[in-house]
Amino acid sequence: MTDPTTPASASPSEAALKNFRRLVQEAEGLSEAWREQVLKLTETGIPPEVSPLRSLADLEGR
Amino acid sequence: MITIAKLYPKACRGVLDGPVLRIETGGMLLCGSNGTGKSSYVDALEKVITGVCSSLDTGDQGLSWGKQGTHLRSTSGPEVELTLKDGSKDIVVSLATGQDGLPKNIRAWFAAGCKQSFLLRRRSMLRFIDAKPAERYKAVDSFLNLREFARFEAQLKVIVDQLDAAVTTDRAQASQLEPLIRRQLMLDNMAKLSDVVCLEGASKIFTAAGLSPAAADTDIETRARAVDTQLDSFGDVERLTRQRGLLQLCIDLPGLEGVLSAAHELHDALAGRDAIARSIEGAFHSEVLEGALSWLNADAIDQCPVCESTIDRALVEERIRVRLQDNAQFTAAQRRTLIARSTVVRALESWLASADSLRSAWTAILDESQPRELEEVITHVQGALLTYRGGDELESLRTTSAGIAEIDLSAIREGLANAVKGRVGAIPNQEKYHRLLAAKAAAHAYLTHWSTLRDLHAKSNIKEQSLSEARRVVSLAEQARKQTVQSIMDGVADLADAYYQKIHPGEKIGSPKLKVTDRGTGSLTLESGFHGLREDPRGRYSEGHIDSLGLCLFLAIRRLHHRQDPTFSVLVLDDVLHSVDGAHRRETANLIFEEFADHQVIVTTHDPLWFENLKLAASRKGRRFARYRFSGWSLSAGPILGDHQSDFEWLTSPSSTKATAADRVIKAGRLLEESLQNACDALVIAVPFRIRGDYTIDPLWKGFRSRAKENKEFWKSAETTVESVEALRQLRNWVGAHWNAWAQHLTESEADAFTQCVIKLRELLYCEECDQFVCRIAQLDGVWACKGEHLRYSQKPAP
Repeated sequence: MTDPTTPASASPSEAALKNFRRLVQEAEGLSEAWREQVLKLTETGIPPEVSPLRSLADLEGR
Repeated sequence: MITIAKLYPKACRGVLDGPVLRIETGGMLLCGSNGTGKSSYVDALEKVITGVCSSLDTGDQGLSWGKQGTHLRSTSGPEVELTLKDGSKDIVVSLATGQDGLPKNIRAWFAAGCKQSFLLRRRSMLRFIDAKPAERYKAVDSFLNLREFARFEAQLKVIVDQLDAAVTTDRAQASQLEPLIRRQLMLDNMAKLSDVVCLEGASKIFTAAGLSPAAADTDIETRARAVDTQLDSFGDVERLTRQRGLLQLCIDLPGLEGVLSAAHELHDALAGRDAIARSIEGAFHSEVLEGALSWLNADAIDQCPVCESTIDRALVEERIRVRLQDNAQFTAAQRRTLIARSTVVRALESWLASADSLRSAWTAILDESQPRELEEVITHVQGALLTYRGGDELESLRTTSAGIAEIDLSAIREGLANAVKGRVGAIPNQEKYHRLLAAKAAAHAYLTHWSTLRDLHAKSNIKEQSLSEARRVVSLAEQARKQTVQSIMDGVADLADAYYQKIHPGEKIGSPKLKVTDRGTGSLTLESGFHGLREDPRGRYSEGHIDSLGLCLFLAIRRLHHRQDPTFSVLVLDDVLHSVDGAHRRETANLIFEEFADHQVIVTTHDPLWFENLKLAASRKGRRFARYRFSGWSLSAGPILGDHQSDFEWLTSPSSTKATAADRVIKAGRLLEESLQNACDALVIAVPFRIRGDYTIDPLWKGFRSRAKENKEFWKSAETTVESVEALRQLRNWVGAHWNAWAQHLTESEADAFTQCVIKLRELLYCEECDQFVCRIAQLDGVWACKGEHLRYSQKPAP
């Protein structure tokens, strides 16, 4: 859980992303390919100019 | 710290052209009755900072800054000029100029203002409390600064949507292929399609076509080639089929027996008819005979009108009847002849039609003219048709019939069939051919359709698995967001409760909880404690408690945002407290200035008493606050600035010494009235009841003075003052309550005397330290005291 009173450096969006990363890492029933891919997306973001299908294609080709 | 120094709206909402409000470093307190333009300044401030006016730009139809942002009488658009102070520098920003070219730190200030919640209006506060959980979540959603994560979450949802669409497309394609495969491999609808099932289906079809069964994909390819080779041996199957049809036409060419039978019937009919005709030759026609019989009977004629011979009428009648019978036989014979002729003609035409079909097919299929023997028969039959259509010569007809009887049609049929067979050779085995065709279709179904479907299943399985995982990831993202929001809301609720307990200490209410529910994508419930119960605060809280709760929740969110980004330190409260009582108002004022000492605080209120509470609380913090009072408003002038000072402040300030005696008495009279109202209330002094609550000063004063005498300690300190008021209070009526020319001659010393005794009386009754009038404390024998007992008057004199 994040500390909502944490100043500046931890914005709510960053806190949510941090929570999301933790949940993805701990999630059961999620294949490693997805886990890795999604965690990578949390670091790089999903660039708006790149179709999410690019990521999908990678996943399909696992 | 960047602060707001000046706000100057023009043609904006209810403001036509100012007035300019200067705002001190501590902030600004603005009082005014409802409808005097306070909120117009708040709207202008929000618009110039954030670019949005949330009271107008709600998305509701017919409501927007574009429509209602401009003053009703203005022909130009609204303008707002905001002056900021950054150290010693003034920076002026307006709606027209925008923020282009501003220093980086100023732009950061505006950016933080856009992202943070800093303005609370009463209606938004109540809306938050009253909202349904999903709407409440939406209300805080914009406060939470989760935009970047929300964008990420939305993009994950796009992946889910696209996978979903791909899976749906695959399913649609599969649903088209499956029935095709089942039909061509002759599989039961219940059979689950697989390599084994499809191979078995294909093998059965191959076996029926005389081929070996298939055990693998390669076998199917081999069988397909074998089928093609065998089908090649059938050559031009279509042509063979057509020749087979011609052969059948030859075999099925009808005989002429029916024609002969019909011809013989005609011959007999003609012979019979001719015999009857000969027997009645020379006789009158039936019509003549019937007419004569009718005439004889009608006129009873017994003598011939020509030869005058006697007529035996009975004999004549008998003879006529015989003749008529002969005529009836002839008519029947004639009818039989006609029917028989028609039958012969139809039989001949039918045969010719069949022969003509054969002749046409022969020419078309064998590409040569018909055989001579068929042509001769056709010619003969055509001649017979002509004869039988019109001829009555029995002998001629019999000759023609005899000619037909001589035709050996069986021999002709056989000759024709043999001729066709001789041309086309062996006719293929149709059954074998169809089985081979089925085998070819089965091989194609397996190699093409099943292969496609199998591939589709394999990919679709991956896509469906991906879809399932993508949905799980989206659910995790939603869970992460909700956890984060819950964590923020826990912090907000804890902080709000800390604030709330400062306003309502020891009242056993509070501890609000904002809970993000599991259902839906975003839903926020609100509950709060009430003497051990936890439920929706609206169930048991007073209106004042709900006002306080809403304010504390907002203040907590404001504090949260400030901790996240302290660039922007402004707090604006637009007339947020309506139903809060005096003591709680004071605590609220203290809370705001204590907890937000690092903010520039702007508060508007319609309540003069809270305005005084705010002024007092602000002044104790040693920071500078601008104070304004809007005394009125008109469409043409906008807000009208009045005197912001309370009567007590004014009477004790240097400005009162420069005022006229009458003005001083008027304000002292108002202060006396206000003090008596508060004292009578706090000391539980009985006053004659008035249904409208419009108590005049006289009953208040009489009740107070009477009870004041009973409190020995108070009377000891206040006797001189009270009796001076008693002696001089008529001045207030002469000057303030009723116009009196005499009042214009009021002396300075009279005014001073009245003013000073009223001020002294207020000081005896009101504790500045505790910010309250003395109260009667029943538990202490009715002692009059303030909360901190800085002022304390016992009913009995001190020993």
